[in-house]
Amino acid sequence: MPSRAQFQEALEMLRVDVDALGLMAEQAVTGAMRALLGEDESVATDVIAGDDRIDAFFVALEERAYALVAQQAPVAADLRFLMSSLRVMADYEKTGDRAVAVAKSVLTDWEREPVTIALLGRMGDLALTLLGSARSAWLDQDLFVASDLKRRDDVLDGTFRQLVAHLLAQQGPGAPSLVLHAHAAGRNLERIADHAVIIGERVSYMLTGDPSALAAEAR
Amino acid sequence: MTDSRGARSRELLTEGTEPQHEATATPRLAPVGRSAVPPEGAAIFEIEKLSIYYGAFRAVRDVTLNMRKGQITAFIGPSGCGKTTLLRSLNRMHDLIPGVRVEGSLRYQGDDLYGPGVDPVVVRRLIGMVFQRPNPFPKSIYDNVAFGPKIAKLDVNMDECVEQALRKAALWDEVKDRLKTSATQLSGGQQQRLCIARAIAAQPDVILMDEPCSALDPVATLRIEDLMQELKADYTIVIVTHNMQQAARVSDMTAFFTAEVDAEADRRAGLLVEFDRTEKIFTSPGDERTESYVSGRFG
Repeated sequence: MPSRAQFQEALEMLRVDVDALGLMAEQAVTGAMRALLGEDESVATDVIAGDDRIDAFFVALEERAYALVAQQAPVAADLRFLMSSLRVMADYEKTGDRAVAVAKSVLTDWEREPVTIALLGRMGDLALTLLGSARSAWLDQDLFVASDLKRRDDVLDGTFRQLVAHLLAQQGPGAPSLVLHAHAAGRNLERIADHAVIIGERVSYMLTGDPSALAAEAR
Repeated sequence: MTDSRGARSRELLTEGTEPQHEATATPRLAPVGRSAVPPEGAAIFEIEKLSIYYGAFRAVRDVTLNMRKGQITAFIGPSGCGKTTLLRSLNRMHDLIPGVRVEGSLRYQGDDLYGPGVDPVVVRRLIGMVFQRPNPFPKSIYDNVAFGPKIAKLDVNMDECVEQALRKAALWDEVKDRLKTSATQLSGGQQQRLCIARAIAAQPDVILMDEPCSALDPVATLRIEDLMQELKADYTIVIVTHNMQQAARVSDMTAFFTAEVDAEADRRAGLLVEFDRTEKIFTSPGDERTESYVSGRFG
């Protein structure tokens, strides 16, 4: 097989494998939310233990991407793809870390106040939807889905503000630990959604080469 | 600027209307100092709808682009795309080949390079050329460098001129103790730097380079590339290269040419596909043909 064809095949495999890392991150977030919502708290320990696998896979993918850059000296669309894959895989890895942080908070003793949990549940659903869209934008190279992510993130930010207002109104002996842990969980979910939005911007840049997408990503 | 441009125009022009083709012809006007060239960023070559014919065959079709002073412009593209032909038209090398005809407009610092009365010998002093294979004269290192200033009868201290040119070409330290030895004893990379020194000694504004590293090993190539970056401060450089990484490394602007069937002539002719900042050409080119070529998806 000509070396250029092999290169294209390697890029294609990397694209699919970066999405596999995205799937692992998504599963970690799903697990952390199930634990947080009280459906099955034992999942929290699985999420925490599973992060080592995500990290190892991330490192392996990163090495593969560097090797392709070194050996093939990519330019133009190939260069944008490889540089983007490095960015996107790092966002998935960090998403996994945020899921671990949420899972750890489940193992801590704080009052699961129903409205707080409902708001966190809503944030979790929204974050997972965004993460799912980021994955399809990457896998299907879908510019429309990619560029719509930012707009959809605003809904989640609104819910987070609602949560903060609700937490500030909490009183009583259990309030401090509730506020501390629920706010941290909310912050982590908000960051998970931000990573999804950044992936969307990165896919937009990758597909169009338009540097304004890079600026949006940095904001 | 009007004044200095006027001065430059007068230098390009001879008093008679017939171009002088003899290599020994002397420009009738004194050389103009470097202050006479436009500031960095001003257009040094303005090419409009330029076509170049070899007899009836149109080798380059309708090229329009402007090159700026103080920049390195790279011409890339597959064989037969006309990039070398275009490069050679920039200092009227084609005048030496019977049957070559140029149509359209090619302005150098505002003056028609092919205008009546423009002396191609003066053109070639102001716009020097470095070729693919190092081609030193079978003379001493010193005489090679001194050749241009002697022919042009430049009023210079020859020893100083030779030393300065060799220093600028990053060759001085390697040859200063053997200036009288034959240039052909130098290595390929040294010979090429000698050719660059020879071009510099004639006090040009522009240095054209036709695949200057294709006969050199990677170490010698790197030295030439480093040298180009240093020379950029004083000279405008136009380089034809088959090595896309080289274009990406050294140039500010890149022009991508391709060869396509010319309906008019029913033959393949070279045309300019895209001309942009090098960074743009190699990260997000605007044309699919450029994208395929720079990514190696051709053939």
